Amino acid sequence: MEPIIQIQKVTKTFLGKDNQVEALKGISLDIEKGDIYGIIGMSGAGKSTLVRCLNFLEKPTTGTVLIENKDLSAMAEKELRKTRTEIAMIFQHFNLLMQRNVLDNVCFPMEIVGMKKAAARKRAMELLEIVGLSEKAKSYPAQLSGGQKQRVAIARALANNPKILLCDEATSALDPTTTKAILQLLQQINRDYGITIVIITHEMAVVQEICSHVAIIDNGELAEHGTVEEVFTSPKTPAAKKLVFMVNPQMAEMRSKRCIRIVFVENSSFEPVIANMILECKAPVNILLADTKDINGIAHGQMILQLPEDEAVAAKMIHYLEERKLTVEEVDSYVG
Amino acid sequence: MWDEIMVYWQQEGSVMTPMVSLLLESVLVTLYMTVVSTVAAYILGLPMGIAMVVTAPGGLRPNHVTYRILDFVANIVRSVPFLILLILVIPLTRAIVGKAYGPTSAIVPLVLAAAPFIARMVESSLQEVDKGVIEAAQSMGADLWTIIWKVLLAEARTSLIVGATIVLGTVLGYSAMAGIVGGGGLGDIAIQYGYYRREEDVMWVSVILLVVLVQVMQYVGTLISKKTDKRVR
Repeated sequence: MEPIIQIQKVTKTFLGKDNQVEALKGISLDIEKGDIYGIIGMSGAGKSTLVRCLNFLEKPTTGTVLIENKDLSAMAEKELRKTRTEIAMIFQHFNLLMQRNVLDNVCFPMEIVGMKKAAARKRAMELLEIVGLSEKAKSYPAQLSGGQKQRVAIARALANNPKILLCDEATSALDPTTTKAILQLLQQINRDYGITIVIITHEMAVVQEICSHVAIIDNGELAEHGTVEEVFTSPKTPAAKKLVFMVNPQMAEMRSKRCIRIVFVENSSFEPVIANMILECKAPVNILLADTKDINGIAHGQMILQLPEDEAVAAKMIHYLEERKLTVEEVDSYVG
Repeated sequence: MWDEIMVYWQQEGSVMTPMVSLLLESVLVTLYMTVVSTVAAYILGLPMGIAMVVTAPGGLRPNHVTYRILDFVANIVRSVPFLILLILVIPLTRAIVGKAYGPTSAIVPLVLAAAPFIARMVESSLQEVDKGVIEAAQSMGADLWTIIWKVLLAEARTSLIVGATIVLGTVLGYSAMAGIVGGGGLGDIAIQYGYYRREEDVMWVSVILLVVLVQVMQYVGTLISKKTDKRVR
């Protein structure tokens, strides 16, 4: 398959008053037609700048972007504007015209390309049907919920039959249920109209939900890219690992520095003390070291546990252990 | 225009005392000066304000030199007190209107004073427009004029109307000052009768009429801006 978007060695440097910020440090990436491509990174990684380079809202400092083999940097202003009508974009804060009703908002891009008013209105109603907002045609954006506003923005984005849809943190201002519904709508659009979708997000869950491919941007550089399965099952770079592990809160790093050393001297080795404590307190602990043995039914030895950050839970755990006649002492920071 | 109206009123003069008819004439003269000056000043000030927003650093077409010049012009005119501007521009007024007194002559300094003020008001109204919405329009391939008309001016509508209401009130106040140089209108009456002749009741009536005019303008302006604002409810 032919790549519809080719990002070629794109760098972007912003000049400040007395410093310069390298937002992108030479990114090359091909996105194929019909993909739902996730571009993920922590905030400040440069992903929003990158997506703006795809329609030249930001002009790369060096490097270029090709859309269907046409170089955006070689285009004159007028040609660039025409190309932009084929690359739609939706935003985190929806960016609807607040003084226009829903129908007129959807008509706006069609006014830009000079479509007749009656035809534009007819098409706008069809689009509102697709996003499930026909009954809101005469409402104003201020009267809509976040999810509804994003649906209007999606209808508006589809108005001129774009080939590409760029989504800049399109679900970041929405609650989880609404996010899911919007992602399903995007998936449906990709399937029904074959529109290539590029999704910029900081949430791995979004990528996991609908993307076929993912690129991880870290500190202005492309850390890793490939199919979602590849990157998910074996993340190679620290940036990728960090993002993948963030999905599952249980897999999150334990950040607490609070560690305790427990010494077993007279407990029955048949009593699962630690497991019971976890069940009782309903919080995980991290076993940093365990060196115990069973001598005639009595547990001997020691363990070092890292306790949860929550002070109350940690205190409860210490109390629980002391009650069971274990020696508990706090250790500053255990390095294994 | 008001000459004919006055002739008509003087014909029906039986119910009008000369003072009442004089005050009514002055109200009309004041409105004439205020409205005509404001409209003319918007013809200059609106494009100037738009140009300032467009050429400002980070604007749609940043142009340092143009912005600096416009910014400077807007500042110097506003730094000259209106009373002094009124006298300073007498030669210009003469060149344009043919005489330096009367309501029509007062329009020249009023426009000169109001236009830079309007430019500033327009600038601040347009700056309030959400940058994200402008970016969205750019991403759709909108050209500069489309963004100015359909995004900047349309989205800033409410703020522009509020601004115009403030401008009207300010120009009305300035027009009263034009009375000093024989501009006519309520301010003129207040000075001629109230100050020079010490007929305080005339001064009070003119002041009350000025207050009423400003209140009515403010009320109507607020009403229109609220009615046309679609951001609430």
